[in-house]
Amino acid sequence: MGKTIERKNNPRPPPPMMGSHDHDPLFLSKEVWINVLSRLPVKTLLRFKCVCKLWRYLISDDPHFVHLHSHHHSKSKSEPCLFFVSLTPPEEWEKHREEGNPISRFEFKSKTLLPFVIPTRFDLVCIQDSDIIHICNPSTHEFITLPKPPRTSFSSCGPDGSVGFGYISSTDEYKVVRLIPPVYGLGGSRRRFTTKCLVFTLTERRGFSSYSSSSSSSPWGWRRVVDSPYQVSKYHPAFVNGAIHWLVYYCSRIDAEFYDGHMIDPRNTIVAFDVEKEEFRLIEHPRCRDLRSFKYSDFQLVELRGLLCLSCVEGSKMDIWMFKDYHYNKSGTWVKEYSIVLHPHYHYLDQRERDDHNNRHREDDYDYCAPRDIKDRKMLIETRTTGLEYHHLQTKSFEGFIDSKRMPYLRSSFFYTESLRSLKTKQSAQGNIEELTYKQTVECLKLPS
Amino acid sequence: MASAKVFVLRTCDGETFEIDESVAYVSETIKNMIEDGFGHDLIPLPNVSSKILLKVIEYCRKHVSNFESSKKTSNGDEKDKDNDSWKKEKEAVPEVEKDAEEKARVEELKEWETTFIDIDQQVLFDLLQAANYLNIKGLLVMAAEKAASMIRGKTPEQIRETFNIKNDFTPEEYEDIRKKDAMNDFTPEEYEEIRKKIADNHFTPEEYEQIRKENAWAIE
Repeated sequence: MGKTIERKNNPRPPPPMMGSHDHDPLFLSKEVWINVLSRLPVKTLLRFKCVCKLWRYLISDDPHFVHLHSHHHSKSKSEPCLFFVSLTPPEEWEKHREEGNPISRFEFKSKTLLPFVIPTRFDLVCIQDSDIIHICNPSTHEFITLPKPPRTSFSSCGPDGSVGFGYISSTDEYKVVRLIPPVYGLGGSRRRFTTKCLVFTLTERRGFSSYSSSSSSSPWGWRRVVDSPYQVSKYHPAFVNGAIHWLVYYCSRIDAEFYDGHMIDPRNTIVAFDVEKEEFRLIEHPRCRDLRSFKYSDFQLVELRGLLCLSCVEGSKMDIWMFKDYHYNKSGTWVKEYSIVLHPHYHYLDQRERDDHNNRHREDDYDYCAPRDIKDRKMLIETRTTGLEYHHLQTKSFEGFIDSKRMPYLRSSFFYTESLRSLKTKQSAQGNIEELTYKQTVECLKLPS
Repeated sequence: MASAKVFVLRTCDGETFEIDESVAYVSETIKNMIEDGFGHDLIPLPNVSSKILLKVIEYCRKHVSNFESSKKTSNGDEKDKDNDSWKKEKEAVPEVEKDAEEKARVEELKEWETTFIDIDQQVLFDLLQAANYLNIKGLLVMAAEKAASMIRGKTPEQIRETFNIKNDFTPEEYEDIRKKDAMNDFTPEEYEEIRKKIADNHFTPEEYEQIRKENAWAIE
């Protein structure tokens, strides 16, 4: 029948708001809408995706809009948000859900039980999942899987290697850097002991699409670049000053003999990969203790508000060294900036207990202690027994933020900044889907202001 | 000094306004029209009403007088007359000024701006459209920021109401997006509250489907 229902005029009276019922509906052109909407925060825009198709297009799919939005928000230096990744939790955890300031929660599928999140503070997050790399935007919940590197005789055996994630602001590009460790024990020439470096560039042309007309953009795939001078620790790379920094992986099999020409003792060395130039350089770090007796988390690199830091935990004390006046090619100075007596509830194992514990458990299955953030004379510290706490540097007191019961088992917290950056691409590795069997939950929170 | 040139603007409701050249040039659109030779007669502004043009002229006059006084109080270097300087000042931190006079000027400007843009929704959005058409960067930024702060707290339904935006999703698409959105912002209680509000003012998916079927001949 020809019954027409007026969709424009709602049959029920509209809710009163700001005197608008006195006027006709307001009109704004698309151009003006783009100007206004690009000034809104990410959370608000994601909520407005359902207003109409045009808005959904702008917010999710329009690279020009996303670019304008980030332009308006970069200057405000928005605070990073926190997130956790854990195996999809059982129902008991729902009880604790309201702690912290939850933003959102979403799921993805992984190949391994506990994939590694590369610790960075960008708007994108890189996750190392055995030989697979995932890239995720926690704000929009988008998630892609990168294609695997081509199998060569070196990468087909041995461990998965160390992965770092970097960003070049001049070209708005992200790079995933994979260092593949040498294969030992098979004899042969010295060349087998090199640590190979593969780089994957995520270009921002047309939202990471594979075809790009610009001559300076890299192809969509893994490229081998210059070898790393040393094998590096798999854990905790830190991205500072345009370079990914790793601690040299020291084990008794590495002998200084293999590294001729380097004056720095590999046991006190940091390897830095400049993501723009795609070159390595070395930085010496202070001697803290004999590395062999450390768990990986007792001694780690961490980026705190743009500074490269070294955190050394010994018993109940945490020393934080900061690399000050760090310029690209000149070296800076290491200063022991903080020496913190940890919260009395932090339970640390003494050496014997620890060795015993480590022998029975996986590498990441024990207590850890790490600084996460520093702001306004407060340091955010995370340990497995106490969870996330603020340590007031002046009063030396502790203020709980998130209790350890609330935190996902064995997982630590990571940072991201909110953005609408889209990961739409045609080149995701579709073939990996069968391998991804474990459900992981990502939970995002806001830090208290 | 030679007498300043004067231009006459005519609004869509037939009113005319006389403004100095310096004031007229604050609008890039008007400036271009004058430079293209259209300044001899009335300059027609069919998209702008007299009520709004009054506000616009108020802004432009303030901009010009502010620029004049800033030349006196700043340390003498030529600030660009471009509209961007207005925007730069907004973003600049107070420590940029050297004198107390300069500081006072900026303070006064901020206060003036706050009062100027404290207008009701209808006027604000009309002003925003006009600033866009007339290409007045500083006014556009100010109005856009204010507009953004105004719509930020609204629900999607309120936005559609206020701006007469049609919800052009299919019911399935809409439910899908709403489900995903639920993860993005609200606590479960807030979401429940909003869902109820929407239920009061909005069609259910079934109703939508019904409407679509019945009106297919009109829509397609």
